[in-house]
Amino acid sequence: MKKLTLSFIVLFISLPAAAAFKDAGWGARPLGMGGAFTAVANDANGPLFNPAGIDQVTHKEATFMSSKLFTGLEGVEIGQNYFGYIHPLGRQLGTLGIVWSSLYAPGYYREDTGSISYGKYIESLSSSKINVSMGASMRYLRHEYSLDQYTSRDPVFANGYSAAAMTADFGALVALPKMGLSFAFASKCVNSPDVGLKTPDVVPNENVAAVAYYTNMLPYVKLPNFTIDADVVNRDNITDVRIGVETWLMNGKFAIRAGERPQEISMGLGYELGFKKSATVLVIDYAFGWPLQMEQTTGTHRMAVTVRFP
Amino acid sequence: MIKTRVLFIALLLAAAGTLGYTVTVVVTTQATAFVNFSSNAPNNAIVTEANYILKCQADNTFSTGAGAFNDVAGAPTWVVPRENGTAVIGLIEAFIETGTFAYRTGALQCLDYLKNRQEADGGWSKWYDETTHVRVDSATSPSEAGSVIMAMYKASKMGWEDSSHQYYASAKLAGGFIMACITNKPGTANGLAGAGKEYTVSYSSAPTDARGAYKWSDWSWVSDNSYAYLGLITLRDWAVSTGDYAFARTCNQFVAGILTGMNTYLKNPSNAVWYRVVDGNGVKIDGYSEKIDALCYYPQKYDIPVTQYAQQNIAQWMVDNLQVTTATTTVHQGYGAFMWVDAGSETVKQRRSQGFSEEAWLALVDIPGQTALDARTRAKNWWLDYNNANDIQTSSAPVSYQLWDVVKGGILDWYDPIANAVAQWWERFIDTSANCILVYRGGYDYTAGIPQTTTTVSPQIAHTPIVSVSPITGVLTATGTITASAPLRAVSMTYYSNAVPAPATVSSAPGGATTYHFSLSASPDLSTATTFYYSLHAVDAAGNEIRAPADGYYAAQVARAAQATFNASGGQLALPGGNAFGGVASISIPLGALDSNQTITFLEVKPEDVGINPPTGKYTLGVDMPVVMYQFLPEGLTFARPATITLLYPDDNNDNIVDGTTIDASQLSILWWNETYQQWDYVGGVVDTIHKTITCPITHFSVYGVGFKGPLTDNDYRPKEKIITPATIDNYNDFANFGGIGIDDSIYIYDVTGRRVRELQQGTSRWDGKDQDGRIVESGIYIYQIKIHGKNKPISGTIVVAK
Repeated sequence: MKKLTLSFIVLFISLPAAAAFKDAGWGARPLGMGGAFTAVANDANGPLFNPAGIDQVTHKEATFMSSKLFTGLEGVEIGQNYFGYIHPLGRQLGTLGIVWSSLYAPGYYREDTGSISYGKYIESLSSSKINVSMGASMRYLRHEYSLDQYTSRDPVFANGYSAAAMTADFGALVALPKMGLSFAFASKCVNSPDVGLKTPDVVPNENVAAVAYYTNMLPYVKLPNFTIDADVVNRDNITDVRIGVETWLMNGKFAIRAGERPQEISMGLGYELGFKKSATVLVIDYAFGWPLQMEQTTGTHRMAVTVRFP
Repeated sequence: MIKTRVLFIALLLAAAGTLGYTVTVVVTTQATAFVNFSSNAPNNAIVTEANYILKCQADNTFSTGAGAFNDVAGAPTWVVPRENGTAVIGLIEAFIETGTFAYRTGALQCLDYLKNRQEADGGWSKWYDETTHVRVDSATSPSEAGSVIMAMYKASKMGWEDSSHQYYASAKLAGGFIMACITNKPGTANGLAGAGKEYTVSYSSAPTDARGAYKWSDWSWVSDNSYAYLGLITLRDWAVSTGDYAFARTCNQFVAGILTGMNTYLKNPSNAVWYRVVDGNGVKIDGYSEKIDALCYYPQKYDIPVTQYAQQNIAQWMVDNLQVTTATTTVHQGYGAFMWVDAGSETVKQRRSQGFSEEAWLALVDIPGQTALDARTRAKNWWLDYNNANDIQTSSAPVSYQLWDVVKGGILDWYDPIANAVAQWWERFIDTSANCILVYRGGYDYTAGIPQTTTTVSPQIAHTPIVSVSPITGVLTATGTITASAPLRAVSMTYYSNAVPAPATVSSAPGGATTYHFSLSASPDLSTATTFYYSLHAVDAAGNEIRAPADGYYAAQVARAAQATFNASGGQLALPGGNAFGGVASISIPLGALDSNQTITFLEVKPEDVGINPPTGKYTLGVDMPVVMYQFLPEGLTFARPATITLLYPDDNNDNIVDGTTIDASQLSILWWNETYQQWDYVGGVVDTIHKTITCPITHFSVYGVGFKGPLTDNDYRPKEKIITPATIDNYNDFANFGGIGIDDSIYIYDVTGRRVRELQQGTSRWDGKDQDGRIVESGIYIYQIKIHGKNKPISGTIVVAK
């Protein structure tokens, strides 16, 4: 375990970075928390943040998100869709996750990500009540450019308008339940896949170190079911810090979230509907992102529906 | 013709007696040079003959005859212009062979004499006695004129004409005389020259020939017409080389007529050679036309391009009719000699003549085949042998038969072994010496270097006119192709500018080609000129010419241009001139815009200069095409910081409407030519209607134009490129080019997470796909926001980076 942790730390520090498939945000809940979700990752939004985290999911769960980025800007139309499904196989067998995500600007560009993830509880050090989970994802990346009068003669597109590659993510989650702390490491696109048409177009390896704290009741402000997560993300030699908080009110039926990353602040809402007969739970999440540097936009809006099966 | 010569002598004596003159022939008695005619020493023979010609030249003792070649050494009593012309050619050939300057001097003195002696109608009499000032033979003939023209042109081609020796005018006058002999000849044999003009009074009493008449002109001699042809085609060449093209064409027409006439009327259908003479209607004259003598083969000797009989047949005819090919043992028979024949007396066919042997040799040398070779070899061997006296001494012939006059010099014309007689001392002719030189020079091409084509079809010039010329290069090069029916003689370009109105000419040598790809370059001073004018001209050997344009000149606008080298400190470059309102086209390069020394060229250009085609079909100037264009070089140069360009627009009448359009000047914009997509893209600009300028920042070099853009929309600011490929610099989508960016405007680039990756300031109007640290960004979606100074709402859009 120590060796594994150390190896992630080394990976985090030393891997070079270079080009595409940026994390524009997967899921309304994580984005409501500013994208700080690596040390949480406990629902169908989790596989692309940290495959080790999905082992925390106890029921089959599916989520679908649709979002519109930077609304209100004339001339800008960027959309994003996300679908995730978690299938727990049992404590011994681990958990599977399937993800499809796309980012697109109609008439310009589209990129798709398909992923199969697996997370597994590794061991519990009972003496200190430390739970360790590991996970991995195989990802298929594909992007496609649009043909127009300008690109039609560009030699860069002489051999086609799309490119695809395979890559893998690895994650680890160390939870200290009694203390409410979780520590996570994730390394994504570990092989820095090349998705270039003519010249190298490397999707940079992205390494994340995260910590989260959970408490049933945050003192002083009395916020129930409170979670705070901080992710430190390094990609292409640029390091971001993302921080997000979440609290579930109304006996855990209604969530309020807030988050921040360097270029954006965000907030989110969630509402859980239970269906007593089937014990199926439906969760509706909304997230709003407010870019700090961009002007005139009415923000990024994300809406997600999650079904948690009994 | 020698017959004629003897007749002249008789006439001279008769005339002199009639007029009461005492004929005095001054004969020098100086020792003669040893003559060695050995074929192994041709130079010796050439020097001997050339020296003898000089010996016959009259000096300044004779006021009117100075320079004339007499037929014998002594006073100029027997000056034949036709022979003088031949003698001049002989001397020039001797000069070429030996470099002896005295031959040049002698030739020029003779030509000066001939020029001074020329009659008012351009001809020369057949014979002058300059001691008595008598035009002895009262007729002028085309033969005299043609021979003198050839001699004068040869001296001219030697480069000997100078202020003291100018012959073209004289030759041109002589050419006019030959033409008069053709046009005034009675009868229906059109094209042929008549025999010339006869005078009814002597030279002394008739200082001008105004009263002469073309009395004998209805007879067309093959000799006269051969000389007429040679004189006029020589003159045609001369006229072309002096630029006297109209006269060259006139000569060409007459030359063509002579050829047609000779082919039609002078060919003898019953043998291999020509009639000696025909009447004015081209009909042969009994007793004259078919007599046998040298005239019958003159067209062969003089290289006249008449329709030829088989040349071998001419040689055979010459051998059969004029050469001694049998010998007896009793007398020296002169085996191989060609005979002196008087067409009126067959008895003199016995006379062996070195003069005629030389003429025959000059005819035979151009005839291939054994017959001609044997014939000319026999002839030359005869005179070599004879003049060395070996044959004489081994035969019973008297020593006095030796033709070289060891006392007086010169070659006696004949001896007759049958009659046991030899020519009188005065029967020697200066052209015999000249022809001897030509023989020892290996023959003589009478039309050397002169194309014989007589076409009247003008050359054609294929040339795309030059629209504008750059004063930076300072060179205007006109190219094209000329096709001609006759060999091209001259191709030239005449040019001037409104600043330097004196025309200048450049030319190239087409080298006689009939298809010539020309490239004529002029380097005029265009520093202050605005319009450059030029015309092209070509002329062929026949004097046919073509001008392009047919009238006037092409006008090429002189583009305003400037060039300077800048370094990182930047600077300003302005086009010279400017407009009448104080506006100056310029580019200002700020500090730090360049990272190394760079030579920058700034030109005002026309669409054709830069390969920009106007839209097909009807289009509106200023709207579909800029009203003015400027090019900045080197093409594609980019600046780290924007440069500012100021361009002029035309509004000479200051009505704020762009000249030639209906566009309000305030609505003008600067556009740039997107070479890759062949379209004008919007740049922007601030119009100054006072100075008639428009100014805007640019970040790269290209062709910029000033045109009407109309009310701006957000899309005018947005880049046309949706996807850029900055990692591959190939002129395709290397940049995102924004329009209308002013110096106070900004462009911001964001990635899909909303992170600002690049900020473009101070008028920078193109994004090179790099982030603020200079790295090419990741592929994927980016958002731009353009903040226009004074506008609250930015203009946004999406741009994708691909690799």
